[in-house]
Amino acid sequence: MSSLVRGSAFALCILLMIGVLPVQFCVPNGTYRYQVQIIALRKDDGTVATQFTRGQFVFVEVKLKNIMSYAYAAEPYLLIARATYSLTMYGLGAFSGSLTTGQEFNAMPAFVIPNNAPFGSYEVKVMVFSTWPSAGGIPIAASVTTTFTVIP
Amino acid sequence: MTRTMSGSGLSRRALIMLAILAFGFFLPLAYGQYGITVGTDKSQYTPGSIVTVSGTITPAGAGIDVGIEVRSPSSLAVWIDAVKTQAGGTFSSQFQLAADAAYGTYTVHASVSGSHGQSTFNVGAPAPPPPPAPPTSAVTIAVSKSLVEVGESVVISGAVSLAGVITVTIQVSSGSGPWTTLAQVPSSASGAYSYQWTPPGVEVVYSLRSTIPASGVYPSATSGVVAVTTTLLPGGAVNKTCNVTLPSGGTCTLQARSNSSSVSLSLNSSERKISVNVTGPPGTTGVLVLFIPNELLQGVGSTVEEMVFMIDGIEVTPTITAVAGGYLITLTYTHSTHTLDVYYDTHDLTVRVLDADGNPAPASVVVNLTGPVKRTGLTDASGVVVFTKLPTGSYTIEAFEVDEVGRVVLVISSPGQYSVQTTLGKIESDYEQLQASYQQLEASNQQLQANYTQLTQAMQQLQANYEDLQAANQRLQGDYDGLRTWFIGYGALSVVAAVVLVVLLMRARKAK
Repeated sequence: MSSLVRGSAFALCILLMIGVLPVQFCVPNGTYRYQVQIIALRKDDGTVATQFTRGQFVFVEVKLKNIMSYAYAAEPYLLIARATYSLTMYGLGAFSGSLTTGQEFNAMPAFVIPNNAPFGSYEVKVMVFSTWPSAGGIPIAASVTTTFTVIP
Repeated sequence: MTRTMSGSGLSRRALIMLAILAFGFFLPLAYGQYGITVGTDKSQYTPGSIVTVSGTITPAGAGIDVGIEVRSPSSLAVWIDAVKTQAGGTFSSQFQLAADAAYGTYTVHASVSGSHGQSTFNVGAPAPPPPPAPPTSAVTIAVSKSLVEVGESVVISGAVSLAGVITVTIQVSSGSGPWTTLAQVPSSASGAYSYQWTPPGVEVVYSLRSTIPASGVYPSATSGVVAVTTTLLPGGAVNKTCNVTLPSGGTCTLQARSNSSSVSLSLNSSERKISVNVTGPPGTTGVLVLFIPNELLQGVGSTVEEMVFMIDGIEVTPTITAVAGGYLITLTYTHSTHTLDVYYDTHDLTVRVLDADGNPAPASVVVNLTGPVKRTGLTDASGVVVFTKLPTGSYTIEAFEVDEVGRVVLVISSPGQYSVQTTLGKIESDYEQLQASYQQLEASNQQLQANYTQLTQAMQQLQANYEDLQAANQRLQGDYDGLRTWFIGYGALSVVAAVVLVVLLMRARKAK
């Protein structure tokens, strides 16, 4: 009887551990799973550009690579391209997917320059999250920035 | 089923379970599990506001990646950012709400490894402006200079605290007199106003202030008081005044101001003359500014154009400035002691020069006028010469055509016409006669000269003859003397011979 109880308690503990670990077991901080390798801004005709006008699409070309050295499954990602003028966001493009270890992918989130966007220099910040922060997503790649100019 | 456990067995099992639970609790931290809190700097924003999202992770650590996302009331992402924590585990991200940001509750999410936190803030319409402050109004005043030379302008300026064009009333008071409106000027859009004013009078202290009337929006306001003093000369000068009784019975006041060390001012109403005696350090330049009121000129029917100015009897041309109420006469001189005369009422004189026969003299006869002033003129073809601006007084009029040919002395107390009878024609005929006599005399003189020459020659001849005669005379005298001696001897001898002869004769007779 005692061995049965002991065995049951041990099994219960194991089950508890198994029940907790999947939800809290995360990759330690400071170790990015993805890397933004190439970034370029393109117009809707595909040409690389640094100057755009209001109403134009800005395609943010990002080459994303899963740089994990080990994984047993594809890692999901959410690629965000955010355009700001001063502190105001005027464009937001997103793209999500998943890559396995060593796999690369060219993503091209895009946004339209609003008609009320001020003329001048804009910053594009490309961020990669595990998912939307509102859903608990955290950065999983170093952010990369570039600039473009909105001209009349 | 009965379940029994020994105490030692129970404790052992509890310890095993506790160890397993502790392992399950600490294991996540070893793999980067953090707690997170997030918030905003304010709970209420307006569109266009800058929102600062900040938070802290626990346990504190620097360089930890945090995802931030802000969603609008309609769940649109309005901000997303990836930041790293600072020392102490703090993080922040700042963004600006769009100008057309939707009103409502926004949700701020922050995620760190193993944890997610959120907070909210509201975006609403800007708070209504505070009720307007009770209306106030104010007006200021200033003058460009407080000591103004007579005739000089001063700029009165200031500002109104109210927006828009406000009519500013500038008021003036002299001495203790009442306030009177000097001018009404509109303020500019910025509230500034200005007005250029030439204060009348001399040595008058004016007080100035500005007012704005009340309206239904703002109350009235009055500025402080500024003073303006009119002066003839800047500070340090000597002031003199002289009250004058006018022919009409009224009075006026002469004023003189000078940098001379001694100034005396007097007026001779019969001569219509203002006299100022000044004395100052020799060699320095003296300035006299004399204010002549209009009443003085009008009282004698004169004008400024008729005035004559003299320094030590010599006519000068001063600077004349028309000012309110009169004229400023500015005279300069080199200091010693001087008498400055201003004849404020003068006359015109027409002199007609006639010859001895009463006919007009020919042109270009010089006519000298000597009196309070000295003038010289030439007659025109009608024998007339006109003198203007003559002060009242006694004058000697002399007509010259090389020599003085006429003279008259008269007292000029009013404009008039005078004739000078000259000996011009008589002199001319006398001259011609004299000329003829002279020529005759000249001829006689020449004749006399010739006669004289002849006489001289004759005299010289006579002189020579005389000398010859004198020499002959001397010789004759010698001869005479010789002869006389001889004669005396001879006579005596003759007498003796005669006597002898007589004796002899007598003897002879006797002898007979």
